[in-house]
Amino acid sequence: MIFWLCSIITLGAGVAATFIADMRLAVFFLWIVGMGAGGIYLSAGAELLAVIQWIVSTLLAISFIYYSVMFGEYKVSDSSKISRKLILLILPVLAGAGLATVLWFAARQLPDMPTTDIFSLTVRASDSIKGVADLGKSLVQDHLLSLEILALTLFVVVIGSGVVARPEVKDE
Amino acid sequence: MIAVAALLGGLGLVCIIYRKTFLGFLIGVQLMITGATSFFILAGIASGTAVSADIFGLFIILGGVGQIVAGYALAVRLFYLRKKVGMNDLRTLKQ
Repeated sequence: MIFWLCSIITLGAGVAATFIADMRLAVFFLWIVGMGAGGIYLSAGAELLAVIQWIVSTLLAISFIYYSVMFGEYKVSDSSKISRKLILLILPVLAGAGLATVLWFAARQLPDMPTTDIFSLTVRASDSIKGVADLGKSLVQDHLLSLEILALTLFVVVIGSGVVARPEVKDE
Repeated sequence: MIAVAALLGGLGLVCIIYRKTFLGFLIGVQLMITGATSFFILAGIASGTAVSADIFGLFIILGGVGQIVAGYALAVRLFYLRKKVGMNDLRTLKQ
């Protein structure tokens, strides 16, 4: 029940974030998407990921709001014809529907994926997570190199973003 | 339940194509990343590999943060260079 409630909220907010014109409202709905996705993870038994998703979504929404406020321009004025606007709306929707359909059918082909109860959320007892400690142990023991590469990547991203986003200073 | 993750990913693609501003583009990327994470977690639960799915989900979320931060820096750079946020006539970030 909670899973489907979070799913409806997430998808509704996703639709609003995609199509609403005001950029600040779109960012707000993106934040709702993050909160709803965290609720989905929580109902699926992934508490750590839910907390991380909530923190990341909140920080991203705040930074996007900062961007909107600092740089002022919220939307691009579009003076094209209605027929062109309609085409520019229908084509992305078709592409998105195609991607969603492909993903859904591809998920049914995964090994050990149940095809009969694909709409139900049942955590298998044999591999259910017993706690965050198991996750941390598996992360450090089996995926240490991946963790280090991720940490290094985030470090480079922080330094590189600072370099890229600096204002241009012209020599006197 | 996988349909929820698939629809989120599809919505992200719609947003990336439909939006005309850099910030809208980044919103679409974030939607796709959320969809991908949900896909991994829900598929992992359904197929009985929840621990691996959670670890991959963690990597996707944190990798997505790096991607969004880099995109955000590019958006700031774009505004410094062109004084606008639209992407229609954007071909290069050179001055």
